[in-house]
Amino acid sequence: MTAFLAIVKLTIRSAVRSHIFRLLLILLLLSVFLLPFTLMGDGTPKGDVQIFLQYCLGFAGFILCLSSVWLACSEVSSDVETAQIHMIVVKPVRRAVVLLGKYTGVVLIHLFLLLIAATAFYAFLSFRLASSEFSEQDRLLLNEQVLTARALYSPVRPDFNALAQAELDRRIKDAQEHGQNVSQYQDDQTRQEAFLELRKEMIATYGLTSEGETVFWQFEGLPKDLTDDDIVFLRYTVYVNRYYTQDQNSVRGHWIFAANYVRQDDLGGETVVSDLMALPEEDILTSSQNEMAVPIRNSYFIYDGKAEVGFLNMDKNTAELNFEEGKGPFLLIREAGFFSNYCRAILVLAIGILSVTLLASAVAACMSLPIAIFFSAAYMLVGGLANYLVTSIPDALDFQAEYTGTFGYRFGDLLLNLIVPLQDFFVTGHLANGELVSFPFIGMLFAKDFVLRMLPVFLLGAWIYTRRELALVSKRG
Amino acid sequence: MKNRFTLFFALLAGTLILLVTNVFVQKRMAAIVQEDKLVDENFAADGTPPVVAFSTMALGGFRGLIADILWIRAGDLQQKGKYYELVQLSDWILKLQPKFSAAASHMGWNMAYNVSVACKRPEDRWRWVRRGIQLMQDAITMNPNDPNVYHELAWIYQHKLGNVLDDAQRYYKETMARQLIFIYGKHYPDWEAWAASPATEEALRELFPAGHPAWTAILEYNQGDLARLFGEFQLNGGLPKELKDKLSPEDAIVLDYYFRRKWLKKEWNVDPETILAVDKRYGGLDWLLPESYGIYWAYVGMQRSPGKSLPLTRLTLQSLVASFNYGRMLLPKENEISDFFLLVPNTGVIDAARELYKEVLTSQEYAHGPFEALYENFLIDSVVTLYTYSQKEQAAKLYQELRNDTKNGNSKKMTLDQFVLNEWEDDIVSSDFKQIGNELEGLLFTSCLLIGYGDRDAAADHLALALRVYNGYKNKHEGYDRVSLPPFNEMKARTAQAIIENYPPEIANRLRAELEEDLKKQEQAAAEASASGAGQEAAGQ
Repeated sequence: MTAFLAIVKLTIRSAVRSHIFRLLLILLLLSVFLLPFTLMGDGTPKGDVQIFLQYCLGFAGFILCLSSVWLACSEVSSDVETAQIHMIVVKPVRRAVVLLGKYTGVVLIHLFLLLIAATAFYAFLSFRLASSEFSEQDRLLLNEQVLTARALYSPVRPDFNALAQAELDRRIKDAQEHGQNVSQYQDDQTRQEAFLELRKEMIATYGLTSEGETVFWQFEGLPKDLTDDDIVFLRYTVYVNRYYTQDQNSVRGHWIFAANYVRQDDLGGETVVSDLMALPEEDILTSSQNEMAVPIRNSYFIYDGKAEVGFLNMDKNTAELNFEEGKGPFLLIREAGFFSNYCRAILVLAIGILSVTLLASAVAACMSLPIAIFFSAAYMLVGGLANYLVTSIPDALDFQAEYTGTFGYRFGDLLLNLIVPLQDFFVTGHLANGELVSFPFIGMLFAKDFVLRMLPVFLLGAWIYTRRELALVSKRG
Repeated sequence: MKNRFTLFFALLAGTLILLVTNVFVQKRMAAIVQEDKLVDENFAADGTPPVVAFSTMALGGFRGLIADILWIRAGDLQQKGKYYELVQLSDWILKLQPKFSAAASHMGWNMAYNVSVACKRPEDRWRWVRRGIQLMQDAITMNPNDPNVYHELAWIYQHKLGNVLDDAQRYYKETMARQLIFIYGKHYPDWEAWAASPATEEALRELFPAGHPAWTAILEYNQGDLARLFGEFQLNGGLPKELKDKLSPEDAIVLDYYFRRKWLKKEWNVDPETILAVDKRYGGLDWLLPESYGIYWAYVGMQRSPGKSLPLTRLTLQSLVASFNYGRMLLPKENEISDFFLLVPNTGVIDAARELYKEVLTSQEYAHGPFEALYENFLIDSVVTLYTYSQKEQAAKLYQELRNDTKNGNSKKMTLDQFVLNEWEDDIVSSDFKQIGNELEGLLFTSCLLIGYGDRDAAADHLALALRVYNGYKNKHEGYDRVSLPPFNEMKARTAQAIIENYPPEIANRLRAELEEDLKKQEQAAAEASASGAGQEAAGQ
């Protein structure tokens, strides 16, 4: 243990002396003291706070990740290259302990810096909020939509596989009854293609509503202990036809809330009453994220953790309105305060630092300094690119999709399964939008990225480090 | 050996010839650069802005790549309806790629048009339009010779703010006027005096050297801290009283103008000298209105890019026509903006618009355009408007021009009075009962409002025209009770009452006083008529 602590101490001391680390530290200080004054939001207090949270924390996190990669690579590989390692390995210390000690040293110094940066940002934000004079409306918006932690509830997704299968079976049965030839469906591939086509059609038309039609979404798993004082928000984005078309405009419609509430009857019993409550018809901007507080008492609207929300299309000029799959509507319910959410976002950044340092240490354990840095940086870059590949190719899995698109999507998907994208650890967008960074999410992230992906790489690196012929490297140097 | 020397001298001679030729070529190239404005003069004078210089030097070729990433992010966020990062991203993109004016134009237009309408509150919409304008102003600083950027900026002023296509257009006009009048100090500033005032701190210090009473007063006030004084000036909309009391009236005016022009430059990036030039070229514009700013930027663009200003000329013409129709802002109370402002024609720009039309019609570039018909329509509108706004002499002059200079002019054989009434009658003939009611109410409403705003002559002309329209319609529909109009005086009284009830006291009081005076005159006339009738009866008896 003494050896381990000594290595940690030496690593920290050596880190502080590194020129690159000092440069990155200056960048970090600039981000802490200058960035908040140079950022331009949309001019609203809400927008200004959002951009502050998003960029300041994001930039500081990015600098710290870069710095930790540099230091980890430098600390681990330079010892080998300068033959300093021989001073240590001749002592009764296992190489794995050496590697772990260096890793811990690098992590500790960066966690400390993260703590300082996070505290400075929080203090700055608190000061700004306290010293600014906002209008009542602006302050309300800020408190309800940014300085909060709201859990995002998605509607229950229908089982499109079962629905498509049932629809296909029904169509085949109908055709048979009408004496049509259905022999082609005995071929598995044709059947599978028909099934996939039906499924795709069902997904595409899931949130589609024509004039005079209503579409409903069911929500489950909502908190059961909500009081009428808690505010529930509805967030949605609606499009005229598909999101990429030029038809976007202002449309009209009603939001409808299904109310299921308990009413005491005359005999003292309880009955569950079902009713529909429609909000007044309103103008809605398409292709724009809209958010509103649900103006109905929660005890009417949410029953037994369930709710049902509908939209009635009243627009006479538009063919079809489309609530695309994955873009809402969502219900947002406050579950924690801003400070708690802020700490959670910092915790996620800390996991990011732990992870990238793990990677950099492992790589540096088996490679020279420049190659280790290049490899780590390339790893992070490819992670980001993979995410972009997966998210930027719409309909990549269609039958009609271009081969290159499908290949890009599959390749990105494969990379995402192998590589940890750095942006996984930047949840500042959630924080800026007042969305809860939940503990299950943090736990999943830790398990998926740190334990399952980075730790094996580190263990492999440690194993190579213990088996590596260090004298050869020194000789070459 | 000899060959070697020959080769050496041949090479030397060749080099010398090339060097001498280069001197001439270089001169010619420098002239081309100057003539075609391939280098921005203000960059040459002031140097590249530090942020742009830094990003160019520090990032090199990577800045294009970074700008691409930011562009993708901006598009992605916009698609998700998240706009709060857009201002920052656009600013960075502009600084990374300052010469990519098409990108800047797109971003400015996007903020002013697309993002603004995604907001429900007019104040949020205005914020985005302003952001778009500010970005375009920055883009102009980076690309001072690019006509497209001027065009886009002028278009935002003329079309987005000046036109009536946005639900919040009145709010835009009101807010813009409110912000501008705060800077101007009054509705119609003395631009000549502004232009004569010092434009820079150096010029001010030359005017107020050490020992000058004004400078001594500033020193006493805040140790000569002009930046702090400017901050106070912007906060109060004028010089602090404590300082003003110490200055002579002349020095106070100089200092006031100095700060105001600095403020105008900072907020709206315009100079009084150019405003003066625009006013001289196009007639007196109302500088509270967006069309005037549209004309301003089109004018600057044309000056900066001669020979490439076809779209700017077109835009100037559009803005002038818009300014002619609604280019004067009437306010209930002098120098105080309220949402009850009234936009009336600015007849002062007619001559400039006419001249520009003529210029366009004779130019080769527009030979096949629709400008002949547009010019004729413009002249017709001008005649009617001038006639309706008490400028009958000018209307007669234009009517003559309409008859002489346009294709269908010869067919207009009527007198001016007949022509104007005929134009209105065209509307009456083609109007149904509901439409004519609306038109009459519109005329009466404008007439009453003009009384409220103090323009009695124009009000009287509107009233006379309304009466003629009323009589014309009544004669045409004689005997059809179903579509008969209420008595004229009743319509007028009802309209006036509506204005008195809904408009600010300044307007209501003026209108009420006028109506009372009218009533008195009517009673007096009635009394005189009955007295003369009684006299005649008595004489008959």
